[in-house]
Amino acid sequence: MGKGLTDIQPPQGFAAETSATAVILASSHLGFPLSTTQVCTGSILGAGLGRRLAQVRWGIAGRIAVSWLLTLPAAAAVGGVAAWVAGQGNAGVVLVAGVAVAAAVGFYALSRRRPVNPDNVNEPRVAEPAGRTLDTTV
Amino acid sequence: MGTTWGTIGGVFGVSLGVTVLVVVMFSLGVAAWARAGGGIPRHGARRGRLDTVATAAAVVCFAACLAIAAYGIDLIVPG
Repeated sequence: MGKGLTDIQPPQGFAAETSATAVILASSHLGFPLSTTQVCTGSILGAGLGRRLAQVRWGIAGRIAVSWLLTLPAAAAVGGVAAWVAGQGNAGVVLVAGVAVAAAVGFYALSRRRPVNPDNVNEPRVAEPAGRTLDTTV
Repeated sequence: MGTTWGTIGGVFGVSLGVTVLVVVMFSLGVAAWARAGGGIPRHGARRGRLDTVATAAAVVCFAACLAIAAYGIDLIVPG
């Protein structure tokens, strides 16, 4: 996550992890539900901004935000349709199970088109919007 | 929906405070450790008084960081 959003050096990683841990522990202790993924992403964004000459790739951050906005309604819709079909009877349950297995196989096949392995995991991403540089030196 | 702004504010304040504290403690510890020679043996092998003070400060800072981490683990371990 740190590589795509902004350039993370060890101090930023330390600060990001510490703040994420503090937020997660504090809110869990007070009984607050939260999303660990969103906390970690926010802390990495903040740590990246806190550096001098901070450069955050807002295009990537925007894509992450859009995916969060879409995920909740999309999951709700899929869950609703699946529940309605499964509620029709045994045939419905079998149909939902079959679609789920087919989808899993399909996603796996898609993921193998350009597999990530130790050789290319750290390659720079393609087609990235240029990041705006924030000069935070006073 | 009943958002408890007080609790959110409390979480924000405590998290901010603890994060800043841990980061400052760790940075001070690293700086003091570097000031004390960072474990590299010096020529002449004469430890000045400032060196021992810096080493002690580094130990205190890292102990504080460890204590905070231990408290955090203690929080999430049930029982």
